[in-house]
Amino acid sequence: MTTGDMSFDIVAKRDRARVGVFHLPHGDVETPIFMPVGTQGTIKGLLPRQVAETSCRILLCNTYHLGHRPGADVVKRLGGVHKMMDWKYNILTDSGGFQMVSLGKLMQVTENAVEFNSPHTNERMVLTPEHSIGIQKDLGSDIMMQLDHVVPTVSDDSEFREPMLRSVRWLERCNNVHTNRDTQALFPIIQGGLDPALRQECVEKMVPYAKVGIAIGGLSGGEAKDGFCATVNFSCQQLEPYSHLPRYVMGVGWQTDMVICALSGADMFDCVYPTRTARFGTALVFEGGTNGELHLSRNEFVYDFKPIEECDCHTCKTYTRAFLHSVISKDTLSCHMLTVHNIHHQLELMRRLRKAIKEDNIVPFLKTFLAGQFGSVATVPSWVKTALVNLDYQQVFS
Amino acid sequence: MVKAKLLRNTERGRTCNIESWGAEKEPKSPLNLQTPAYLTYTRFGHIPHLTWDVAQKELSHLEQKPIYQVSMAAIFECLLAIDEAGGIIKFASMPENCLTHLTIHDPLGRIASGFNKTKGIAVWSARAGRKDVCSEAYPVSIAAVKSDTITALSDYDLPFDAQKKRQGKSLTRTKAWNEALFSEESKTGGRPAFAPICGGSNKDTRFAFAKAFVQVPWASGFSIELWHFSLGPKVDKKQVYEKDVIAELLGETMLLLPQDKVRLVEGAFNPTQILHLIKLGVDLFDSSFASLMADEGKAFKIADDFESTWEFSVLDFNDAKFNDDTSKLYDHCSCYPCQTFTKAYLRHLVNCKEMLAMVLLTIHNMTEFDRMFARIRESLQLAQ
Ligand SMILES: [Zn+2]
Ligand SMILES: [Zn+2]
Repeated sequence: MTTGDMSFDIVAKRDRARVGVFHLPHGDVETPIFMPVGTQGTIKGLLPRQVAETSCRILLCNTYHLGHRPGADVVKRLGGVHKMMDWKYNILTDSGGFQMVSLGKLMQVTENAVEFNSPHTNERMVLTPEHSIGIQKDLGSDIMMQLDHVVPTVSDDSEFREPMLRSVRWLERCNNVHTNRDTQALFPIIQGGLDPALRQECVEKMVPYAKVGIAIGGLSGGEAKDGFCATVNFSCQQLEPYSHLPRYVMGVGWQTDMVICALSGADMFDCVYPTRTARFGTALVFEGGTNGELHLSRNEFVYDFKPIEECDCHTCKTYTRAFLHSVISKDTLSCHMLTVHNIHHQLELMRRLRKAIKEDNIVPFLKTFLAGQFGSVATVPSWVKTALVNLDYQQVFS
Repeated sequence: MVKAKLLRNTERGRTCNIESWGAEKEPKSPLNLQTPAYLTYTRFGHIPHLTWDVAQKELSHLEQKPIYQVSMAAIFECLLAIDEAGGIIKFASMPENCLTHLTIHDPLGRIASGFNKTKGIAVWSARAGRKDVCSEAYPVSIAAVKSDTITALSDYDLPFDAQKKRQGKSLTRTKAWNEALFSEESKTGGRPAFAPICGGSNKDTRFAFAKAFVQVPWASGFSIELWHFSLGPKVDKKQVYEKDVIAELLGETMLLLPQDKVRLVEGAFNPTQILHLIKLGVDLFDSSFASLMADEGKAFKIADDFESTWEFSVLDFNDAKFNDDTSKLYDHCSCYPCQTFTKAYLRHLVNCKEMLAMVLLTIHNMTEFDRMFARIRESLQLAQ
């Protein structure tokens, strides 16, 4: 398998977890992988070079935002989003549908399209599956997402079947207008709420369209953690016969969530968490924080001349916690510094996880990781323990 | 000390060679900096919006050896930590052994009217608000920051409507504060200081300041205060910079200043104003104009015939006319943003209030600001 042919090689498999190499048009990506989010075609004040130096090889941009500003036609004339933002590596774009749910008032879904009032102009907008793919083609991303009908997982169970079936019909429409298959991949998005039967039905109906990879959607919407973990676990199990497809769990970015999802067999994650939390002065750490977070605005850091943690990123090689403390919320500086570290940290976590899977060291990895995040293995939240026991890692707790 | 040698004195301004910069007991590499030149404006020990990684890689092509301007206003909240770290260079991870200058005000920060007292100067910071800096507090800051040079204390608050009595008080206070500050070498660590030439918009008061400080033994150079005429966005009681007014205001004062001492004007002034001040005999500025433009979403370029027309142009990316402008930023410029990005992308970033806009604009504006000074120095070589 070669670079750019969009194939996926599994290089190691341990229990349900796997390490792979995804051969995307703008370079190989090792999985499991975290993808930082550059909503507007930029990662929060970082130069593309700085993003690449965190070892990031794939990032996410939002179709809705770029379609609105600067506009898909403008991005196309600028040579696509890669060229516009000077990013040499891979880009995944979402469908734009989810943003409408989160941004738009009076959202309405018809069989034809998502309709909503633009939060910017208050105009009535109509986004069809064909339109979503059209924009994503103009943006020129390496991975496009189908338009799906997202229903919050906190809704009543009976509300999920029709949206799931509609998502399947929309996938077919997206697929019909997906022409540039050599340079852009189209990912279906498995829906079905927290109901295993619906998820299973959705997998069966969508897999025929999945040529390159597949996403597990409709989660991270405020559902209970137990339901979230069980659904990811179940969906990955359903996808076991199609192991050549990388599995992307959308909207997941907390360290523990990513580890559990990867051990369930998921390969790709994205979240605004590390970049958003940087704005509030929070550094992600392996040890010594609270749930993996160090809140640098606290007074305990005034004279703390240590780096955030032992880390190879520019921030940790250059700056102390005391300096970061002194500039938080006063300038864009702390934001740049923490964004560099937090992205680097998430990618380092992925690297450690891949190493543990390759070397068959998952249990020792989990012991160290969980103790670092929660103080000790004995004090992990019950949902974490349940999820890991369900994946047969009860040894971690004995 | 700040040892300068006048090389040429022309119709268009002076050119000096600054041979050394800093206290004699802590010598750094020989400087040989030609003026006109600029101090590099910093906030929190950084060129605004640029981490040192970015500044060192993206601004490595700048011609002038940097002297970083550090303002009290931006750092007094963390002075104890700076002291504990061993100085601003270590605390803010600035380039090792770089040159630094400590000044009172942040040129782009709040410079308010009506708060100076007999016992000290009002300095403002975003979070902690006002702090009074006096001849007791300043030495503590100087010792913590460990800069190579300092701006002396001054009662700068003389706006256009200041009464005669207030002007007299300003000089009395300024003299008293500095007498106390320079009474013992230990208070400043023997750091060379720039003596204040204040006086607001009153020519006679300016002259009185010059007379009062021209002979003091501690003056290594002179700081000509023009805050009210600067482009600083948070200066109270600002006045329009009119060339005639400024020329009249500074004329006699400049004649009084010794030729072999450097004259510094801190604050944001545009390229035209900088050329004008150079003509009046000013040697040193700061780069806050470049940062101000970036903060406002703007890029600037000096005219091709800048030396004769004094003109410059501005691209304002707040303007929707750049929405689909697919051309690159500036052809003449070799900086990373100009070589890489389109105006439409810059417009997009400014439009979305993305931080990268300020990063890219700072890189370009600093590049252009540095190029402007190189051009000015070159033209002074040729001037009569
Ligand atoms: Zn780090
Ligand atoms: Zn440039």
